[in-house]
Amino acid sequence: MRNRQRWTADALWPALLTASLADLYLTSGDAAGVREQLLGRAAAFLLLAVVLRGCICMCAGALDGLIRWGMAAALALALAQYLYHGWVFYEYAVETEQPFLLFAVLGLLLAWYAASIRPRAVARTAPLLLALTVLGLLLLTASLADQMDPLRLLENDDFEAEGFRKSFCAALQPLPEMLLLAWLGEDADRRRRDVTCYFAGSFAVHGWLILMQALVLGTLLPDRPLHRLSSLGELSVFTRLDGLFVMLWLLLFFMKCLLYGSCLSRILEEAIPNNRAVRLAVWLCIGGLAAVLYTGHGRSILPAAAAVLLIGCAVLMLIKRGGERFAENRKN
Amino acid sequence: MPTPLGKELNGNLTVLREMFGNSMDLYTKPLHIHGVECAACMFDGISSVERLWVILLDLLSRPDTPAANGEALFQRVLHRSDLPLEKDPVEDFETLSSKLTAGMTVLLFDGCACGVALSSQNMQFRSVQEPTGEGDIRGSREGFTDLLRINLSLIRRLDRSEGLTIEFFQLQTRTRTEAALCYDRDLAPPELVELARQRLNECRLPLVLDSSYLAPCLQAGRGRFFSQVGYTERSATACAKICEGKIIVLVNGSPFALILPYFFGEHFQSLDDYAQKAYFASFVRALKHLAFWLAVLLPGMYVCVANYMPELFPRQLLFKITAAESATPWPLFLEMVLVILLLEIVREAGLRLPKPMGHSVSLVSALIIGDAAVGASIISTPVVIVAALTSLAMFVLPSLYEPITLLRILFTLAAGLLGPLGLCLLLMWMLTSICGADSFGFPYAAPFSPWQRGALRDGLMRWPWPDLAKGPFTVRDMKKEADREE
Repeated sequence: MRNRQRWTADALWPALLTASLADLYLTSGDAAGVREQLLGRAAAFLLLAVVLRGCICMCAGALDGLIRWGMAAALALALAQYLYHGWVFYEYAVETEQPFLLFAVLGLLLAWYAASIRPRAVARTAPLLLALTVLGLLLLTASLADQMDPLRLLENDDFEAEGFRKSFCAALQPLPEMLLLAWLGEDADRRRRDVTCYFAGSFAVHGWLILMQALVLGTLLPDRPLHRLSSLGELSVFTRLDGLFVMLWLLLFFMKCLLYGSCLSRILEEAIPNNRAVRLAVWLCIGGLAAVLYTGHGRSILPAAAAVLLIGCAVLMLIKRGGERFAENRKN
Repeated sequence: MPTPLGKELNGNLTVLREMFGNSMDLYTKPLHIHGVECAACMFDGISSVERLWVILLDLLSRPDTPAANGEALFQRVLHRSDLPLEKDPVEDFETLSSKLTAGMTVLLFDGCACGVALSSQNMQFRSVQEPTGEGDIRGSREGFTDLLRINLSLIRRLDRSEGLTIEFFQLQTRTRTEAALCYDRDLAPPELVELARQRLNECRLPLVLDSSYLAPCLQAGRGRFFSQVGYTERSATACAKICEGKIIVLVNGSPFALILPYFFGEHFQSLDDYAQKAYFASFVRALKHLAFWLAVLLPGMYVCVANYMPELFPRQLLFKITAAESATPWPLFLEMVLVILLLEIVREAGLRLPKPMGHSVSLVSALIIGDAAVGASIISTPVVIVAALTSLAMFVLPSLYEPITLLRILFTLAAGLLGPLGLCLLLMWMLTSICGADSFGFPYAAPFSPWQRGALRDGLMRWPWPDLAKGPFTVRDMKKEADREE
């Protein structure tokens, strides 16, 4: 509890937003038009923001057994998955073979390091990285300015409900960051503000990327749009920017590892105080899960399991909150 | 438990001589003052015999009636004379030793278990000069000297406010070094003063010969890469820091004052910033920030981009780098590390050698590294250019010299061995260690992280004085603002 309270001194949303922005690089392009994508995301984020703001009030305390273990498992799964997906992207982006073991060990080392530093360190580092990301996106926009054509926005005239639905569903993907928003911190008002800032920031960055993609690439559908766009940019002595953006992604990736590692450590500390062996076993499990993904097993099951766990935790939180509200009302 | 003085003069003198192992510089002169047997004790060299006789002659020439005994004479000297005496009597051997080693003379009386301490210090010290390690264009030219009292007088002369408080400490060391805590009690947060006091009292070191010995005791946590205490040689800077509500620690024998708390952003500030025009000071600050990142990251970035992402370079530049690198026998990162190490060796040699020989170091290094090594294709020109550029950038921030030197080598190794992965991993570690650290309860990266309005006012930029004066100025205000933003 004492450790978790240390988060409250700083705003949470930059840390969570920075961590979630690392996913920008890994996602593939959406087939829907610009309007459908923007509206779909806006609707999904609005829905998530409302649900999370509702979740917040009852989370200002230690997590209950089931929710705690659900969160820990979801974080461990997400970290393992992310190590694997990160390695795939890194190999693809740098165009050199990188041993998975090295990548996973470095990621886990950083997550382990997060357990030794105060969570406040993660929260305080995040705004710098967020500023760096925004600066990077601004530079990218400036470097692509001559390749942007507003007429490309008009290539799809009709509004497609199917496109909207797809974008809406894609944006509804549960992320551990969303539940962490509800769990971390004591001050409910401040956490509500964090939720609003988190989703507003997410929407601004996603919307910016969607617009830039449409202006530069039109209806072309690249596999990893941000990486493709950065390879088209040219700035000063750099003939392309993809290498620099890979470095930026690495920083965001490590931020995510730090965040997940830090939160997982806090949850384990609350559940099993002063038991290093158990905590070490958990970290070994995460490495094992990442290795399982690398070998090709469970690639379809684990993401689904992580999503189910996250949704389960959210539902449990809501039920608990509902029950508490009901009890309060009856008392009054 | 201190050993009290005895009533017998000879007994006291014997114990005193034994205490100092019959040291030759301990001077004990038997005297007869107003019919009572006395002894003047002092250390030769740090106390002046001439000064002592001037004082004693005044006492001896008074036509007073003879004292009945030592006790009576002691009371007369202590309470009814105009001698420059310490107000508290010397009652035990520990105090006696402390007074003597401070350069005072102690007058002991036969038949009295107390003595009086006379101010007859005559310590030789370096005069107040312009500091050599902290260059400024404007502002006071006075730098701290080695003597604590002189340094305190320099501060008191600049800050004449009633709030300026000085506390003395005798450090728990074998050398019993004296230290002083200076702060403005109206501006410094009381909890900060208490913390500094507590840490100084808890400091246990075998010896303290410079203020920097105390730094590890004062800062929290071990193995911090960036120091959470600052140093200054200028009394004007020390005074400015006191006016910001900070604490200055001065140690006898050291011309460097410690500043607590010290923030990362302060490495980029100097006294000149506040004397120059605001726009120019802001420009210089931006330049310093750029120099820091250049010094830390450039060698690593160069190795990383040239090895792992060469396509980022324009074709012309890439051809030149490839041609230069293909002629050398080393991997790029190793070459970079070697050149950096050579530069460090040259710097260290220049620093430690006697001044007349310093020029030959520059000559040899310029000939060997700059000409022969490049000519023989042992190292490439781009690597020398990058290493020299980072060294120049490093000289802009002398207070960050130690961490930057090691960091740039670490970044080069990480970039060479692991590519962007290693570079970013190390960068992430560096950022979290800067942002996560606390300096005496204040965030070390303040006001940048957590972000405060002061970051623009007097951080990345320096606003004009009228605007600076309106906003928070002291650490106490800073804390208040942070609490309000929370």
